[in-house]
Amino acid sequence: MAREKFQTLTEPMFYILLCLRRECCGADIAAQVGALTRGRLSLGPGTLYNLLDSFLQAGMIRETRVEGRKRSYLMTDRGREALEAEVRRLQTLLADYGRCPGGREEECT
Amino acid sequence: MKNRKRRFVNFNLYDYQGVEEHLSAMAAKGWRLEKAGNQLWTYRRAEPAKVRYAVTYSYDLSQFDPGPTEGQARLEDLCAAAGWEKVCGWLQMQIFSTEAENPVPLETDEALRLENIHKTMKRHFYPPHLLLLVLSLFMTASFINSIIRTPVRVFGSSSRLFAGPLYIILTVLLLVNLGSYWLWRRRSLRSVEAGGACVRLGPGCRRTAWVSLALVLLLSAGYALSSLLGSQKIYGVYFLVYLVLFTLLALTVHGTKNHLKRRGVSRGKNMAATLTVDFVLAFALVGGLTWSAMHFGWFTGGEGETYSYQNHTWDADPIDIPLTAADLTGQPVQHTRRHIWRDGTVFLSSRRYWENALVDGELYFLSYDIWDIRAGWLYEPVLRDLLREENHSSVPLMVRHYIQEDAAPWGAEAAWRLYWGDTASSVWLLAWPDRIVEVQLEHVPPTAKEMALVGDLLGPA
Repeated sequence: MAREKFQTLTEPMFYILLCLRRECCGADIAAQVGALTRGRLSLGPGTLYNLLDSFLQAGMIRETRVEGRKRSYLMTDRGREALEAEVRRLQTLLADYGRCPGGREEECT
Repeated sequence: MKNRKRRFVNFNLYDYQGVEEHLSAMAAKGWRLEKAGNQLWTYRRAEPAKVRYAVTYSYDLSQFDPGPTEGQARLEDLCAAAGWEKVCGWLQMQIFSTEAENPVPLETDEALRLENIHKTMKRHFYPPHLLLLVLSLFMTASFINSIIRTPVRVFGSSSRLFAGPLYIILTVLLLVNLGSYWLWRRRSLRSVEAGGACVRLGPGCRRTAWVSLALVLLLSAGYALSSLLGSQKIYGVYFLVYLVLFTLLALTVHGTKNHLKRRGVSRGKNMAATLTVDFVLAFALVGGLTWSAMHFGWFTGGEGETYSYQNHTWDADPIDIPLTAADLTGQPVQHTRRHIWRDGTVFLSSRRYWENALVDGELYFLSYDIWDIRAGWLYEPVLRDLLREENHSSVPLMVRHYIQEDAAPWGAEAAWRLYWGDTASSVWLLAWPDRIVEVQLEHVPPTAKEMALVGDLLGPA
């Protein structure tokens, strides 16, 4: 079920996993995503919580440290696979786009 | 000046926009939400301010959880870091507020919000609603079937005529709730797929809930008042006693759950203990009231002073009834025991009398029912119902049916005698324009004098 659910990643999922290639505390993820996307994508705490929870349940991230109320997470191998699969999917899309440079009138090579 | 106020709310669990807007409007008027009970919310007075409220859902949260779960703590920390302060929880809804000018929205992924709401609804809204719908549909169908097949049972019983519309209101309310959510989710899915937000919930659903509540209150007040002011005061008293005890039961169950929560008892243990208390108290309440009603004869004229003679119980001061064993036998009755059972509605009044007597050393039994039809349109259905043929479950192959006889000796307009198959019984049904009487006699066939006496004393004045 979890694999099926995360077969393709939404933008918030993609950037959260990207941030968690290195250990990061939950509260810092939103700031990092904002910086990475230059403010294009904002991540609300409710959304972040639900996605972290889903990733934890799917075994795509794990909790590494709890210091007081600060919890840190790190991507697992399963999470890395999902992220890399998404990157490959996006690359395929880009490659397909590249093969059709002329738009609607021209045929793809 | 009051610093706190309570308000009854009827938000749907998925109506997050409604809740957010309501709380912002209350804060602008100087009232901040402090505590959200199931239906009763408490607000505290504060300086009127522009406060933004936002909610998110924790579908795995239970009302039996002893305190903030680990997940809740994580959510609150993330929200606090983003400038959102936890206000309180309402069912599975977590309510946050901020006074920041341009805060990051609590939810920034509408598809995820919708999925989360649906998970919450699937776990906490559908199961009780569907179960209740099955029960209310069954009760509604049974009520409608009774109106058609056995109008005497419905229109002659204040409690049945009161309960039937309640089931219908409940069924309509449940169907509106389930249908509204289904429609809301369908429209929201379409909107989110097109890159938009979840759609706003229209006012229809909440209006239906308010109207239903008003109807239930009106019906209940009408039932209680008509019983207390009419001839069946005991039904009104019984209803009010039931309401008070039921409220106490609900408060006790709620108190038990909260007490165990405060003591840190786990979700499972709390649920088991609370449900046990609920079950035992409900059983005691219903059983106790039913036993009391039967034991103390609340509906049968009360249990007056009695005495024993020849292994039977007799009334020391018998109540008056329209027709007695003494009337029929013309002999003095040494010992007697009488009961009356009254019920009825504005459409049909129903009275049952029965008497056991010792006449000349012999036991004598007499019973009769009197129905006064107050609504003309009901006369034919009531007569049809009373004359209906039926197979009696306790006597196989015996059909219970009536055969018409000469009504003149009874002084009635029509008369029928009850038969079990081919065997005549000692029961007669007598009809007048607004009254129907069913009488069971001890000695058959009755004499002309007895028939005339029955017609004279039980017929309309």
